[in-house]
Amino acid sequence: MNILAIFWTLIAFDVPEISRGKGKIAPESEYALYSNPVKFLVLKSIRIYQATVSKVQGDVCNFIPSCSHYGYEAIRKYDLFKGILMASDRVQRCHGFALFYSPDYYGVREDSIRGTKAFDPVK
Amino acid sequence: MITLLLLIFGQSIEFARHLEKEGDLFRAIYEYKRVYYESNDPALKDLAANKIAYLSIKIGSYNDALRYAERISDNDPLKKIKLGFPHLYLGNYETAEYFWKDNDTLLAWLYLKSGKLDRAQLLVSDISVSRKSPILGGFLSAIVPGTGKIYAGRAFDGLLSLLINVSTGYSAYRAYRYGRELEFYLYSGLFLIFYLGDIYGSYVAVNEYNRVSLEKAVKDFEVRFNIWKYWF
Repeated sequence: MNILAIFWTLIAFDVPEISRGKGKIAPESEYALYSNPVKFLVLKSIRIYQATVSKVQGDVCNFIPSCSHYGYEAIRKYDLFKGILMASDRVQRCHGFALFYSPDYYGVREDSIRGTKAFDPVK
Repeated sequence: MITLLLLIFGQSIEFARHLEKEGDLFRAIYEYKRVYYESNDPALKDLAANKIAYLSIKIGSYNDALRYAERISDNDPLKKIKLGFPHLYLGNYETAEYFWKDNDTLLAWLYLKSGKLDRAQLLVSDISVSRKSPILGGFLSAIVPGTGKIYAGRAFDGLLSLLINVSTGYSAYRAYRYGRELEFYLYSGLFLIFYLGDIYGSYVAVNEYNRVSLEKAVKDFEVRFNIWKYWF
């Protein structure tokens, strides 16, 4: 229960542009995002993963954008179900041979920090 | 004065041609536009409009290409053919079809680009495009995870999907067998997400395969029939 309380506190502190009432109107998509608590919870979980596990794990993803960023964008852009399916598919495509399918299926991006990666943004 | 003008525009067009030969298409277009706007000679204007339209297609600026293709002189017997090109690239297939109705090769190219394979094959019989069924891909993955991706030609993706699905599925089964309820819910949830994701991924992978094979067929067609010869 304590963990849940911490989790919800984290979420409550981050919602804000709407609930704090600073007069800044969030774009329509943001309203939709915050109006769906499950979607919001999933997106928050991805952000928490990125801030904790991903940082410890280092750069292991074979794609640009990384799988967690892809999943976040997919869920944000599409509905929760389709977003999760897209994210799940991407995780299953993320292996050492991902670049093998370039350039037919993915582009290739040279990143100065992350090196050569397959480029597969959310379409 | 006239001699001076001819000298100036003559040099401009020569410079534009030089840039075009060097592959500096953006600057070549800029120079051809200068000739188009400053020259009073209809032949020179026509030549510049032709070049701007052609080069604009090459750099992917299709609206510009269309604007200048429309400015090509009506005396040009190929004007209709030329007008079809920017319309095709802009996705106005019906308009391009209207302009190319007398040319079977260009029509076949248009049908191929717009994905109407049957109609393209009616005009040029030996076009072959490898097509696979996305529904079959999804169905195969529903029966044995990963096989849909192997069917789509992505063996590594398929094998990894199989491994992930088998491991999460087996973990869920073991948790169920030994009565570990929390673990069971966790693993079966994960399994469900991966399983459905794999079916969706297989469907998308087969669609991607079809898109890539169609693109390859279009490129082969363009090389085989030297499509750009119809412009000149």
